[in-house]
Amino acid sequence: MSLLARLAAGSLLTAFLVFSLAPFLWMVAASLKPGDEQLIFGNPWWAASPDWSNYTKLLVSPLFLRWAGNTALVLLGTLAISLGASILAAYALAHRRVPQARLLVVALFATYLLPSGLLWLPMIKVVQALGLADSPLALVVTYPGLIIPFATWVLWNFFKDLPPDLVEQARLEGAGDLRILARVLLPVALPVLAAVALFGIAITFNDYLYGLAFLSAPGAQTLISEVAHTSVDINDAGFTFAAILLGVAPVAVSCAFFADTYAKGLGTGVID
Amino acid sequence: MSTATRRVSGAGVSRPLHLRLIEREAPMGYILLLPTLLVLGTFLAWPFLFGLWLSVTSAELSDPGHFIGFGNYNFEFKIDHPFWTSFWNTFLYTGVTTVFKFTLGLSMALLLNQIFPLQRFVRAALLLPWIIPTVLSTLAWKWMFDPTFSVVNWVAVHLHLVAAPGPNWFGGTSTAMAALMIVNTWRGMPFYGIAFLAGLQTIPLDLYEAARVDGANRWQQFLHITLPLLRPVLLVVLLLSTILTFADFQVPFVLTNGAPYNSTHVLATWAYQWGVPGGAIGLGASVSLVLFPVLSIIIAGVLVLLRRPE
Repeated sequence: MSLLARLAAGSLLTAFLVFSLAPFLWMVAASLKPGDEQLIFGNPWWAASPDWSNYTKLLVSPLFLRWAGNTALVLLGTLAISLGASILAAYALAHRRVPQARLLVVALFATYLLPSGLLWLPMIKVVQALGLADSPLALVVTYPGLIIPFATWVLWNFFKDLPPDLVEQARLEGAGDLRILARVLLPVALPVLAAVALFGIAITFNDYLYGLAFLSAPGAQTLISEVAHTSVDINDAGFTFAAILLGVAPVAVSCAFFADTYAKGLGTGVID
Repeated sequence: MSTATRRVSGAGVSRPLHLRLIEREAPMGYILLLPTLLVLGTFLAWPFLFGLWLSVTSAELSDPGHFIGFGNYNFEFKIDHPFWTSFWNTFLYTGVTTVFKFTLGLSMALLLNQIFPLQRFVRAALLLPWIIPTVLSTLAWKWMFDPTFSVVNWVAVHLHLVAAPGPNWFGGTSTAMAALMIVNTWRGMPFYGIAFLAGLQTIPLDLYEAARVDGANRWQQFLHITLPLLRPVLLVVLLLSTILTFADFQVPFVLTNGAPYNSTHVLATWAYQWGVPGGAIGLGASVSLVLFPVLSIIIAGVLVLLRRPE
């Protein structure tokens, strides 16, 4: 590449970086501004004399710890159900003679068409009927509905393109379905599983409505649904940002570092 | 490849009984599909059917209501003015942001596919807006656009792009819509970028080598190698993202919630407006259902395009 082209590419990439990261810089600065250095004064991108009290207050707040725990529970539970169900489904569709497997996968994918704005009202009734109202478990059972279709589709694409002998050989040796999955298929599917898990985390973190609709007791909130419930005043902004930056951002940032794995997993799962 | 998998079973007649039993493929297949069907049936199919029913009733939050035929739809189409504003806004919002996310995502992917320093860090940083909770980022953007605290204006003024104090973003319909689109693009761009990068990485490099030997320039290589080979992933991402953007609730709800004067509602927030603060569940359900047939037709069209030529 010529020097000029490199220069152009470099500045374009920098522009992308600035656009992507600017809000985070602002949030961190806002969460560190002391009360007397209001958001309105000075350089909005920099806390001149950082004040860590928002963070120290959070670390000793029992509610914050409870919410962080709930968030972790929801995330892990959602991932376990979504991945478990879609692994089994994708395997069945790819390596068990289910008639019209391709049509079924398309039908699964088509569930994304169902307007989420319509679903959550009736879903309140389902959640109540299951006795899960005001429990973080309500989210654990409802989020997988948004993740499983994509996850199944990606895994199915990957499984069906593996050499058939791989599965056949294991089956001839008398291995059952679960054994074939655990010993033969899942080890080679790790990047795809990582990609699917990352998709699941992004969907879970993107929710707003479900948390708002299903949880109302203070003890039942996740960090995300708590923010959705509160109309945050600008004076509390720093505190709110601190809460999410402390409770959720570490997970998000560590996930972001799997970008390469995600790309690799999608690459093998989406393109067949 | 998929025809090859079909052949796998049914070959051995003389196999032990337990092998023949597990080769009754379909029933076992259904058992493995059960968890998925259970989750989707309980939390998607049933609520959807119930929602269909709600949309033709006069249900309110505290009253199950009764069947009123197409009364709700009639009200929307003929009387409810913000409904039409929301309807067109939804298309505008989805259309404009999709064009931006697609173009920016593709450029991002092409840039990320080069070799440059701090690669891992840069890719992570660019993916972050997509993973971080939307509640958090949209709240941040809301204050970044706020007329009093607007750092967006602070930057624009300091770069001498606009005269102080800069636009009152949420004060006018067009600037408020622009703010919505900027935030949606910011959040959605990485999904395109990383998925396209995934596609780029599967293209064999010797194709470019061969094209160079034949004297094709970079633009020709992009047009005749990159784009056609990227087509499946371009379509899938476009499909999924378009559907999700049509239904986007978080960004418009947190950022403007229709302000100013119900002029920036999209169908998702307008349905919520009727259903929850307004208490008219039936009406809310019918508002959110309007897009369903339209979307289905668009998607069916794209799925036909998606089918691999076999």
